Amino acid sequence: MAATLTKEDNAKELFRTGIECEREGNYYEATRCYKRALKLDPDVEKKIADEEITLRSVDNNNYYENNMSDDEYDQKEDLFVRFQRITGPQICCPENSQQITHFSVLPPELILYILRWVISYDLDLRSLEQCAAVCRGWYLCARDPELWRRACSKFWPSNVNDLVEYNGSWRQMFIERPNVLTIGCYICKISYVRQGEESFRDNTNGPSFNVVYYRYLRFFSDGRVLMVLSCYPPAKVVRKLQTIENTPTYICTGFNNICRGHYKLSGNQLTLKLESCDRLNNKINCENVTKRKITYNMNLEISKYKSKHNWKLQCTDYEVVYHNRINRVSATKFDLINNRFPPFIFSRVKCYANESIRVL
Amino acid sequence: MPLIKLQSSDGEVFQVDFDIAKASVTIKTMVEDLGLEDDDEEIVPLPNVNAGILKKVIQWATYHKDDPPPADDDEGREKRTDDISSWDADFLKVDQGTLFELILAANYLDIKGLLDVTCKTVANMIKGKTPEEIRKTFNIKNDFTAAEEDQVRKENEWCEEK
Repeated sequence: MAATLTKEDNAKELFRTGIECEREGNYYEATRCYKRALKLDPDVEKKIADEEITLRSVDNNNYYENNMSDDEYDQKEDLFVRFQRITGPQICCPENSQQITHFSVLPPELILYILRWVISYDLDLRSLEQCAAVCRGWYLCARDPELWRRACSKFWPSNVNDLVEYNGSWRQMFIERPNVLTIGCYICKISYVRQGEESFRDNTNGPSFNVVYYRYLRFFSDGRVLMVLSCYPPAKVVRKLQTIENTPTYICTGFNNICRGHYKLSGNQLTLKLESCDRLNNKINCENVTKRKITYNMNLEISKYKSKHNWKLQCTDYEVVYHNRINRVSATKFDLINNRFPPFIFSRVKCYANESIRVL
Repeated sequence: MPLIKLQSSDGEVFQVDFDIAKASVTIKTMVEDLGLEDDDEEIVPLPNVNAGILKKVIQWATYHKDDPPPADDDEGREKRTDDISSWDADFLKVDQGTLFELILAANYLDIKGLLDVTCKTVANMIKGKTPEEIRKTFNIKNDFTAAEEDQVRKENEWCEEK
């Protein structure tokens, strides 16, 4: 009996040395220790794991008791600082025991690389925020300043380090500094009542029409933008604007051509230069539209909508320029003082965040 | 073409064409620095990769041996628009554990293409999910206290509809 005990103890000790070596990165030595330990006692791994679990639950209980008494989260401490203080080296741990390798084997630098794929070129910071709400370790990863700095540098490559206004936080800069959200569409719904033809009217009931149409703006993180004017509601339109490469030239025939262009940010001012597609015009069987290039110049002001930063775009200038083959022909500047141009409001589109194509 | 021998952590030896093995910058550097190619008997030990994973890695490198070399600069990376190819998608139909081990191996062996495609696969398992769905997907314990969870939710409100 005494002999088997020693054997088991020896195995455990060897195994623990192995763990120690593995932590220090000395994998050769670690493997050797594990092998020798397993030779002495094939069940040593399970025994050690059981012991650890018992120890940890005792620890945890103590920890939670301590936590309840004097380390209750007081809502004043910064969560990042708090989790750095109280979270161990393990990023996360399994809820139920599992045989296969668990997520927690990944070192922080690889988790951060995965998160760069999560954010992706589309700047899907919303998915990153979901990650922050998974557990304390993930929170620390998802709030990593470098990830947010990379996202900010997409919008403000030249002055990404102007952090004074934002408490030194790139995350705060990304949220508060005027920019455009790229995981959805800005939608402007325009409706008015139009009286029907005079000749069909009589004194009792004159036909009148409630005209509704939408203007959509879809921004991409690389400075490109799509504008669509359509009588179709968001559900029919926004899905087709998922990627700029696969966007059709028109959504359905008729009153909804897609204009492509670029945007520029300057403070809270947004300048758009768009062009309607020539190919589109050829497809429509309408003679006075063919071969005519139309450009659209639009200035918008970025502001808050119900406490959400950057959710509202108000058009301040809008000009449509018609060209023939050589010259600028005529320009129409729209009068924006009446209700013809209600603001664009942001609306998230789930499918834009479905798949990561390019890393941030 | 020269062959080299790779030994997995659990002792299995794989004979691989050097043109395939050099997909791994780690192996390429090791072989070139040490001039191992002149000596057929030399074995390259890979103490961080077990036989099952090494086999998968070799399979991946064999299929991708004629790929253009990955661009190092950010500029090149931004231009990449390739989706995960159907071959890679099939290749990555493995359990989560294998996927994580492939990520570790790709990182250790410094195989950028494999690291990207595996990390992208994990990222796509995360994207669009709620925190609870993410926890379920990866079997992760929620260690927030109620007050902490509440605070995180508040901090994240900026991107939510309500």
